[in-house]
Amino acid sequence: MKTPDLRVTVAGIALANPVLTASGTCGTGEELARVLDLKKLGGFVTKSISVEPRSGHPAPRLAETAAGMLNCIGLQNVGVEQFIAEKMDFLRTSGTRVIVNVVGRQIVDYVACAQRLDRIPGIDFLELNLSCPNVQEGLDNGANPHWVNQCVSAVRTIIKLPLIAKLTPNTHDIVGLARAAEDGGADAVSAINTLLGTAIDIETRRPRLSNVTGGLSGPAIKPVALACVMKIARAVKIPVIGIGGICSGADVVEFLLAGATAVQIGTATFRRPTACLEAISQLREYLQTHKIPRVTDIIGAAKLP
Amino acid sequence: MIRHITTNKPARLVHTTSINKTLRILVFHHLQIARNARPGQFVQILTSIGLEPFLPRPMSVFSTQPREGTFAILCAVIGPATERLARLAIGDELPIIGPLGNVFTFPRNCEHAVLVAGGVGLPPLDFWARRLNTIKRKNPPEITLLIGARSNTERPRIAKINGVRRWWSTDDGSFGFHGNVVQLLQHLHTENRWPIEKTVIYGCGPRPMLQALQKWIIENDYPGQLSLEEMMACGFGVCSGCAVPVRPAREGYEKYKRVCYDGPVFDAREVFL
Repeated sequence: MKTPDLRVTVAGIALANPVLTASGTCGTGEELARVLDLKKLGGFVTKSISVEPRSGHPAPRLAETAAGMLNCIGLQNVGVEQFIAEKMDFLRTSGTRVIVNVVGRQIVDYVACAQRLDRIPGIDFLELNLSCPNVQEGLDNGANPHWVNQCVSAVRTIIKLPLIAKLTPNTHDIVGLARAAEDGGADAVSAINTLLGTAIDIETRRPRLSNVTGGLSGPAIKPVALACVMKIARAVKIPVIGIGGICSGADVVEFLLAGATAVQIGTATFRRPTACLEAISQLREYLQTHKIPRVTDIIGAAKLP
Repeated sequence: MIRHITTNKPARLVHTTSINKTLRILVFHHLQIARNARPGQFVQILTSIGLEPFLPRPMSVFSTQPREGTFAILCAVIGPATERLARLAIGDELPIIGPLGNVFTFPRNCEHAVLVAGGVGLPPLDFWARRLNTIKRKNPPEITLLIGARSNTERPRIAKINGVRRWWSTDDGSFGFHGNVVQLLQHLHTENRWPIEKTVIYGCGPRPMLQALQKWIIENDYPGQLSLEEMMACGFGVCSGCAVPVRPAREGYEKYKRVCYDGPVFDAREVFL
């Protein structure tokens, strides 16, 4: 059988395969390029970029948990101007689709950052981080469908680039957030960001994270993420990018069956730096074994009651 | 220039030696790490193919044997991950990446290297002492290695290096100098008075020891390099988890560097400990 066709299209843009890196887990590209060939990815998603530089939280920023980890990095980044000046040259020539993740405190910050990036060559998508659990405003706003709608539409009206809205699972109604993003003009939604969590050192009785709470990621959250993706995919017409605990090609297949058009892999990279590439090979093998010619054939193909 | 890291070759355990109740030397076969690792650098070892422990563990490179294609780590058995390492059988293979991080440096004009190791901070400094000891010039550097331990029973009994002056301290006085390793440094300093412009002080160990050493280095005006340890996820610079605050800080904006990527070796005056 011929090699299966792994190409997928999101917002009219073709991706070589459906596997992207997840924001915040792969820096701004140069570090990851030391361990894998970025050209082989479906796309590269940068760490969240804000208008102003952000220093992030003090150590400890990480805590290992069962089948995963907590982090409270705190959106450390160099700010949009330095990002454009120092990081874009590399990304532009990386040979993969570039998705810049944008974060702000208020809607005006998202707008300002997105507007600045909209004119920069070499960027294929913007992803709005509407969901970081490590900064107070992220939790408050990102779980409010009205705010999500306002933020997405404010950015939508001023930029040309395709827009992905990244949603929080720390809500009772992620489908409502997805609909709000779609109504606001998002070209795609990505879900899920990390789940709010904490851990306490039983000897010192102190939290194991400097910020007390952090975002839970890794295989521990995969079933939660998969259910979110399945519900969202049934409720909106725009593509869904699945995120949450994906470690292998089998996990990718599961998310595609649940309705995701593409996926992002993050925390798995910390265990195995080449996790994304391994997942792509395993996805290809799955399609070959099952004689499925195109990866798009399995998107949303789960047999649901 | 992108320095590539080998990610697809596992490390194979070829030899282990217990050097006291909790410390073991583990020797692994891995050609790239054996050839390329320099003193100060570390490797990330995934101790379990299953999900527990979930993250790999950063381990300092203790020595390399490039001809044999092997390198060693000094492992203190203190938790689930290191217990797994201790239970490995000869021939077992583990996913590994490395070498990672930056290296110790010794300026050409310097003549004295004083290496201050506290507890598990010994491996990179012992490696550095051996490397300094191979420097061939008219006046080869004078190398002094100070090793601190809690007691004689917890003392890492590792091979002596010919040509390196080695001093011990124990907290309970059961072996060598009675006191901590920074007090030993002060004691030796009163006798030796290494010339400030021709000496570098190196340090690696637990945080309180590094804080005391940093203070000592600044008060005594010596150049210094400290190797830090911090909880890590990725180990190769992508997650920003292992942050250490560095100077200059300005109002409302702390500056952080990554221990794994910008370090683990930092100028003694650069970091806030």
